[in-house]
Amino acid sequence: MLFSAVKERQNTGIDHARFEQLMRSSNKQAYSLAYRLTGNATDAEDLVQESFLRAFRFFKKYDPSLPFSSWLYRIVTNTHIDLVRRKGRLKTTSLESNGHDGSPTWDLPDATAAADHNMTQGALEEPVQQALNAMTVEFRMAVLLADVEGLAYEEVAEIMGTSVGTVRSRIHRGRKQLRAHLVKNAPETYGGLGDEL
Amino acid sequence: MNCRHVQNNLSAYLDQELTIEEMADIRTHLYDCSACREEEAELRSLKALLTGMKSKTPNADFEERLVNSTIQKGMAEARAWPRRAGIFLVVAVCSMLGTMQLLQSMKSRQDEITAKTERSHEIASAIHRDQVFTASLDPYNSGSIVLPTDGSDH
Repeated sequence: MLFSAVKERQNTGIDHARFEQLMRSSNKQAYSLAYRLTGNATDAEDLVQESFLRAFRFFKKYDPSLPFSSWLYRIVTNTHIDLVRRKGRLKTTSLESNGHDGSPTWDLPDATAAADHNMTQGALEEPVQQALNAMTVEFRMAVLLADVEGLAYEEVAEIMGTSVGTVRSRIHRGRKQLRAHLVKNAPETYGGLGDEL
Repeated sequence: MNCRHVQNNLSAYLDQELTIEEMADIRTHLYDCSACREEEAELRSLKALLTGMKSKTPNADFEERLVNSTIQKGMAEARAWPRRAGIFLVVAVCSMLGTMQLLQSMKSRQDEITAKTERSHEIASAIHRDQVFTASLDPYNSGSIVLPTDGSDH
């Protein structure tokens, strides 16, 4: 077994055991992001498989001093864009947004507030995923990386290969796209949640 | 700070991605402006909705399928790569040799044309010299000859 692993490494120049370990520790995280990006399990599996294959191909270029997840996220996002373009499904939806029925408040931002609203959110899981699917791909990525994965703008910029300013703009416009879609397609559920929050 | 500026920066404000001064300016504006407060509340509830989304988990057998398929395909690609590179190299060398051969033959042809042109010019010069000489010997000629003009058939 050891001989075989050493021989494999000589053949490909890649530490297979190390790569496998990283794959096992990060595939669930990658799948969750892939699911939110693609909107269904089949495409999510395809995206993760293709992404890990690319990671394997370029594993020699991976800098171990940096988090593997960031490097993998970058591959997942690039692969997703490639696959979307290949399928000719790249969205160019309007950037307009509207709807102002939230209750007035000026509390400080509270990223942990969501934990108390899981029950209400269950009803919105599907509409939100549909709204994500309808978004422009770059906006969807920025919003998912920042909100669902909880990354800072700088990390999102690094993963998407763009500037922090562009990320800031994409996140803001992406959220507005998302809200416009929810207001239009799930007004009762979304409006109710807005009132509660 | 006007409403437009505040609303454009509300997402960054919610994510605490602004400077302390910018955060304070927006907070002050929100205290005074109900329209911007409404917008902020909307975006805040949307962000809460997204951050609270549950992780999606793959099927139980996905990890094994993924590991096996990636290693197998990756290994197959790695083994195929030298062969592909070899084929590419052979094709590239053949193309280069073919191009060089073509260039060489084009150059030979060009040299041949140049040599023929030079020979034609030499013959034309000799004829011209003969004409001048003949004209100078003709007692009925005043010594002048008609020279061909450019573009003539001579």
